[in-house]
Amino acid sequence: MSAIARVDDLVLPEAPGPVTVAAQAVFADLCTRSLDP
Amino acid sequence: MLESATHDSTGACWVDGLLQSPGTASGISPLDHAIVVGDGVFETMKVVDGTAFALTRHLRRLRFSAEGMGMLPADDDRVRDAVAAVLDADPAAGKLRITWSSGVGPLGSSRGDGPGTLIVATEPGSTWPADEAVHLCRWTRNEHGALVGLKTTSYAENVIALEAAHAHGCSEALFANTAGDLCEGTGTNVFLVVDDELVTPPLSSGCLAGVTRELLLEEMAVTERQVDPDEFARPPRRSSPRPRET
Repeated sequence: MSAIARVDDLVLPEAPGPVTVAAQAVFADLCTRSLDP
Repeated sequence: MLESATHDSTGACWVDGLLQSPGTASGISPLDHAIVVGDGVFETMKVVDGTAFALTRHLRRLRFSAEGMGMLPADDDRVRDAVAAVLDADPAAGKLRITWSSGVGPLGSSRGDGPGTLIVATEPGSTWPADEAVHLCRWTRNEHGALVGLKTTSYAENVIALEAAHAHGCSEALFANTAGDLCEGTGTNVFLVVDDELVTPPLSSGCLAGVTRELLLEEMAVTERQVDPDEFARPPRRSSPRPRET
């Protein structure tokens, strides 16, 4: 899972923000719990 | 994420029961309908320590896509056996692809009646950057099209869009649909964080039901709703996660 830091010329300076980081952590945790979730 | 620039030809390949070296695989007919017109379905998944991630979900979607295409689905046990054989031959694999075509057919859109062709191949895994730039491309997804929701080998639109993204210095292209709503990327689903709420386009937008998307919806509070591409520019700007594998 990657954060979007720029959309064409529009820079998203907060990337990755806390919600994105949380989503990445949730998915990483899921992958450690099962390889066939 | 410029895969073409870092492509490594190592890996293993299985074609209809025969393990072969990638790049030299024989046994695929030039009349295979996946080659002739893109009449096939596929799945790609990461491989972790010799195990194909979320294989059961990917097999479920492979079957869904085949049935949506009006093809006989591949036999799940046969696919699992092929996956096991390929991963045994390539224990360092990082990525695996399953392709199921309608088999040999005529040199046109009419489908043949032969058995399907099953191909399972591996390659090294990819290392993705922590964040990326995306390009909102000028082409649209047709949310009313015959292939909506199906992961088919008809991927030329994605190739063109991704080339355009690269030309704009971006690593992925995002599509809106014919209604102007955000849909998906060439190989990704897209999520936005809007006012601290995680939102993603609904399947009715025409996007693929990505496996990572599906898992996130099960694990987190995510709102499925129509997304205006202009929401990227609405303050407060928040970063947005983008599941890599769909």
